[in-house]
Amino acid sequence: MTRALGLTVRGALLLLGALAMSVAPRSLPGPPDLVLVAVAGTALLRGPWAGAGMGLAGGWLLDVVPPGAEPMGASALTYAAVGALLGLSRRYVAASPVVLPLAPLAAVALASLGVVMVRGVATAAGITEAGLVDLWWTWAATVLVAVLLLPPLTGLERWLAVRRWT
Amino acid sequence: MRKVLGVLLALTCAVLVLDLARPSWTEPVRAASASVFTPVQQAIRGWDRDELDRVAAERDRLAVEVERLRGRQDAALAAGDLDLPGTAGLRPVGARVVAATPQTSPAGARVVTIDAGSRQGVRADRTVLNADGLVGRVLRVDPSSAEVVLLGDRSVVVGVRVGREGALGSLSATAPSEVPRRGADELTLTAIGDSPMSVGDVVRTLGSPGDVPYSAGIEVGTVTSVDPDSGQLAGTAVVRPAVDADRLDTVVVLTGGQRP
Repeated sequence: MTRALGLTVRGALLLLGALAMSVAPRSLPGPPDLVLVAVAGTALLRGPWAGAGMGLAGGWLLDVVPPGAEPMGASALTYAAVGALLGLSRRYVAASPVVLPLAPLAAVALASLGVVMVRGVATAAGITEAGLVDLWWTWAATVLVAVLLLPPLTGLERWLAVRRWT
Repeated sequence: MRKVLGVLLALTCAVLVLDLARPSWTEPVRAASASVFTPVQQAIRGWDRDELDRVAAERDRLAVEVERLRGRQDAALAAGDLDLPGTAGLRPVGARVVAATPQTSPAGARVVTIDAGSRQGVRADRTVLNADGLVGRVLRVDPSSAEVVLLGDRSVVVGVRVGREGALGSLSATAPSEVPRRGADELTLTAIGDSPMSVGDVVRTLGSPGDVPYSAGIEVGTVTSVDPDSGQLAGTAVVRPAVDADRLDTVVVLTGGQRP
């Protein structure tokens, strides 16, 4: 029961992120990847399996929230892989006390770069198209938003853990 | 937890393959998702802009109607007043763009969601435009929303007429390997035949029987440069689209056309 509460809270966060990304004005050069930041908040505290699960759920939302993405499931697998990698980085992030405030941010920056590069490679392969400048802005905006949102998101994860809602 | 995640990952892989092989089989999922999420997206987009959007949609609808009739008049004159069957009686339906595929989707197409669907008379493969020109065509339709694939997506190829002579050509986002690399928002015009193309030539839709998927005479863009002859099979040129897809707000769907 308590676990369901934790899942509901995280699901609501992912849903908010996916909806906000879908309705972001197209005039913005590169809207931030809010789903990735939400995935990072969980993965960096709870490890690769939770990160992969969170990434899978977030990617599925990006796949199905209109207009969605094609092929269906591609975003889910991409974000699951990125969530797992973020979770694997947990031990290194925790073991770097000197740069502790920056380590999670660096992990998110690398993860965002990975997601953006998948789109860039798909563009280079002729599967889709995306402007290089837009991708660059998306990465920069994601890092900037992570600076603001990662502390409260990790705080929320700790709060869920204290109440055993995990 | 790990077993469940493994099963979910396997299911996701299966859906991915299914969507690539038989996209129609995953349509019910997208339709159900649209019926749940689109009203939420409409509400988010409509919180503070309802009246402005309504007036803008009306303005664009009228401007489009004027542009369409002007284009049809030009096309009719160029074709010697040829009366094409099935092109009369198109009804413009105003709509607002409420969502777009995020930049980070690994293979996302250039698709946006509009807040008009089958209840408003929108059907698949209908022309979508705004006051500036051609936006794209309707890809999928749900009761209260529709998805529009934008001009510039790799799957979109439009038959066009170029310049005053009305030379035939096709317009797409992909370019032959022999020509210079295109910018992010540039399209490639490939001529049919030897008709000359010049910088500044206006490119308009050729149109299809029954106006499906594209109505005739809608401005698509302007020729900004003509590629040198580098051995490509046909003459090519760079076209700047008339519509800025990154700043789409209100659009118009031409409904009422018949499939040929």
